[in-house]
This record gives sequence, structure tokens and C-alpha cells, in this order.
Amino acid sequence: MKIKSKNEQDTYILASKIASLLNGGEIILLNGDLGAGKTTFVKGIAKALNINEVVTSPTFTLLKTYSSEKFTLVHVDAYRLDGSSFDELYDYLNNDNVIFIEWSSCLANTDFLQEYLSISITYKSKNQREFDINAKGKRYLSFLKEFDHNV
Amino acid sequence: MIILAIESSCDDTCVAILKDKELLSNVVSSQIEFHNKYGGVMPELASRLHIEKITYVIKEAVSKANISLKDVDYIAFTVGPGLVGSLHVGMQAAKTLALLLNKPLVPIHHLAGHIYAARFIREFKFPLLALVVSGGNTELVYMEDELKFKIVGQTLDDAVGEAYDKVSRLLQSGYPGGPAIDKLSKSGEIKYHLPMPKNDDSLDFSYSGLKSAVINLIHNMEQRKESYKKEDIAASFQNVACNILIKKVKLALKRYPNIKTFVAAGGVSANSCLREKLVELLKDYPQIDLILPNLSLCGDNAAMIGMCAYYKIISSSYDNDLTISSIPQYELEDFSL
Repeated sequence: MKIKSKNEQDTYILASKIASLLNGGEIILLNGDLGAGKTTFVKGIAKALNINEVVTSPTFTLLKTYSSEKFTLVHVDAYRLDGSSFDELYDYLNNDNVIFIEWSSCLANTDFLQEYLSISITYKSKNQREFDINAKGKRYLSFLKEFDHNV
Repeated sequence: MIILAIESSCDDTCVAILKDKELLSNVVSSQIEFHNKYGGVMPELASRLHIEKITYVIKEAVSKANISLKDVDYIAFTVGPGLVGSLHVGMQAAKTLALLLNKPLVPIHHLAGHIYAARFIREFKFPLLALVVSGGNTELVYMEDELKFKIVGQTLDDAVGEAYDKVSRLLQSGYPGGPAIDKLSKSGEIKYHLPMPKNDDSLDFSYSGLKSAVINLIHNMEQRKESYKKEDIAASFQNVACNILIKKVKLALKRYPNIKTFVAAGGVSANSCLREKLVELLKDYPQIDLILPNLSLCGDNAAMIGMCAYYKIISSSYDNDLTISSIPQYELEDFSL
């Protein structure tokens, strides 16, 4: 499904709607060009989860974690990987974590990605973005259905 | 006392030997030749290369210092923050040496190390203000006293070095982006207007918007089929990237009027534009001692870890614990005395 965002505030509202449906164990892929707003979207998720820490770009460190009440938010950026393996990610695949992966297209090994929610962000103008949200697998299809219902 | 220091938090395997505060050897086995073809640091490759190199780098550092391993009194190492696999290699090497030689371990925070690199130039007078700028960090650190760190400003999104890397990649100018952009800028003109990010009264930074503005600029010119020079874009970007750092330093100096020493630290502190602007700014503050580290000690190195360890040792505040684990997301304030 496609959703238009007029500005950063719109993106935050969209993120909070997604965040309210997360329970732990979910994997969300985020793709879009440099400057599309992938990190901004994760900032919106963190805000909705009442995480007070500043969410900064994980490009350099590859992975950052933030504790919330229900689960740990794991923020991954595969931008630098460019086709190299990142086996450390396997340690985070459990119900205690919700994993957001920026630039998932750069991951070499995607065996673990059987089911996921995928969000592509397209740049429309200086402030406007289009979010294309898709689900793969049963769990995420019902996630998307519930999300659709809420929007 | 002889300190052997190991740093492996990112892509360089480094070992240094200090005799108190005197640097006897400083070996940096840069992995950049392996990484630049991929446009960044790759964690698996980084830790594999660290494993391959660490023993040679230790041997080289010991031999250059003209000592033998049994002369070593303390083993210092970077415990965090950094890439977990890379940190692990340096830590295991440090633990092995500590067990073998029966000497204490001194875990050090990577950013504290960067600040203490300036101590090879001169003593610090406190309170001190440090601007820590690198690929992963953009922070203003207030130090009331020795080893007492307080972060008073930080980036809210991208680090300044990361913005350099990404802009350099957009201009197809290679990795790391800092030296590449700095070099291009020298033959470019500040021709394009780019917005000053986070241009407010806070001490925080933001580089995400500046990165997007450069993308928009290139995108729009390409759509209009306008030709442009990479050098001009590099110069325009660098000017704004440095000006915002200078503006926030100026604000911090106003907020902390008792500062006696100002230190620039981290890989981006080697940037010629930033150095010139800092020297210019600090002319208005004759009471403040500006210390810029040697260019060879701006990037990651183990000498800085050894220097910081020296102060931890003389204040007897280090935790000699062989069961310690690396801390990939170590907060600087948690390392404070």
C-alpha cells in the first residue's frame, strides 16, 4: 500500500501507527535513496515507543540498540556492508527485539529474511515522501491488514 | 612505567608503547587499502583483518620501542565504543598479554583516548572543552577536571565525518571522504548556497539535512542539464560543514566562560579548513589554550589510548578485570571518574 507524507510530522504520525502494532520479533526493512528519510522514520518509531535517547545514524557503527518498555529497538544500517556478510545480526533475531534494517538491499546474506515488512521511501519533493509498505509472509500480511484498518 | 596500548575499535589495528607519557612507538596498520574499494568499513572483513595483523603489529611496536615484552607494566586497550567484532580482537590480545605477563589490564574509552591525543602536545588545564569529530561522532565534551567527561552537545542524526563520506561517495571521490573533500575543496569555489544545519542556540548538531541539500543540488543541476565542478560542490559543502562546528564551539565558549583549554579531537580534526577556522576563532579568546593534535594522532591510534591509560593508572581508577567484555555502545560519561 502507498501512503503520502507531506512533511516530517506526517512521517512521525505514520511511524507511530506502525509502532503501536509492534509486539517484539518483527523485522522491518527500510529502503530508499540517501536523504529519503529512513533514519527520520526510525526516529519517529523511537519517539512513539517513548525512547528518550537520541536516535542517530547507525551508518558508522552498523547497529544501535534502544530499550523500550515492550522490546529492544534494533536499528541497523547495511549501507557500508555493500554485499559483505553481517553475521552478528543473527544474535538479534528473537522476540525481545524489533529490527529495522536500513539499506537491506546491501545485505549479502538474507537467508533469515523469510518474512518481513518492507517499507520503501521515495523522494517526491524537498519535504514530501511516498511510503510503499509491503508484507511478506502470513504474520506481516495480517500486520498490514491491521495497519490498514487503523489508518 | 611501560604501557602497551591496543586500539582496534574500527578499521585500524594499532599498538603503541609509552614510557610514562613519552611515546616510544606507535604502529598503525591501516586497512584503508582493503576498505576503499567497498566504500566503507565492513565488520566481518575488519575483524578478520585485525586477527591477521594484531600479532605482527604488537611485535613491530615492541621492537620499535626497543623494549622486550617482559618490560611492560600495564596493558591498555579500547573497550568501546566500536564494532563488536573488531573490539573483541584487541581485547582478547590485551587479555592474553595480561595473563601471560601477569600485568594489569586498563580498559579505555575510545573517545576519551581521542581527547587525550592532544596531551602529547601540552598539559591540559581544566576546565577543558573538546570538539570530538569523526566518522561516527560529533560531540562537544566539557571536562571539569581530569577524566571527568560531560557531553554538552551532540549530533542528532549523522556524524560530520559520515556526511563527508556520503558526499564524497555522491561525488565519486573515494573513501575516506574527509581527505578527499578537503583536497577537492582547495581547487574549488564556494559557489553554492547550502543551508546551515541546526542553526539555532543549542549545542547540538545535525548533518542529515546538509547531506540531503547536497543531493538536491546535484539532482536539480543534473535535471536541468547544468554542468558543475565537483570541486565547487566540495568547497561549498565543506564551508558549511565547518562553519556550523565553529558556530557551536563559539556558543559553547559563551556558555562555559571559564574554559582554559580547547581541544579538537578525532579524524575530522585533521581537516585543514576546520583547523584554520578554529585558529581564527580562538584568536578572540587569548585566555584559552588551543591544542590541535598532531596530524598523525587525529585518526585512530593506540598512542592516545596509552596516554589516557597513563592518567587512569596514576589516579588508580582503572578496573583490572580479566572477565571484562567489550562495550560496543559505551557512553563516555560512564567512563568518567
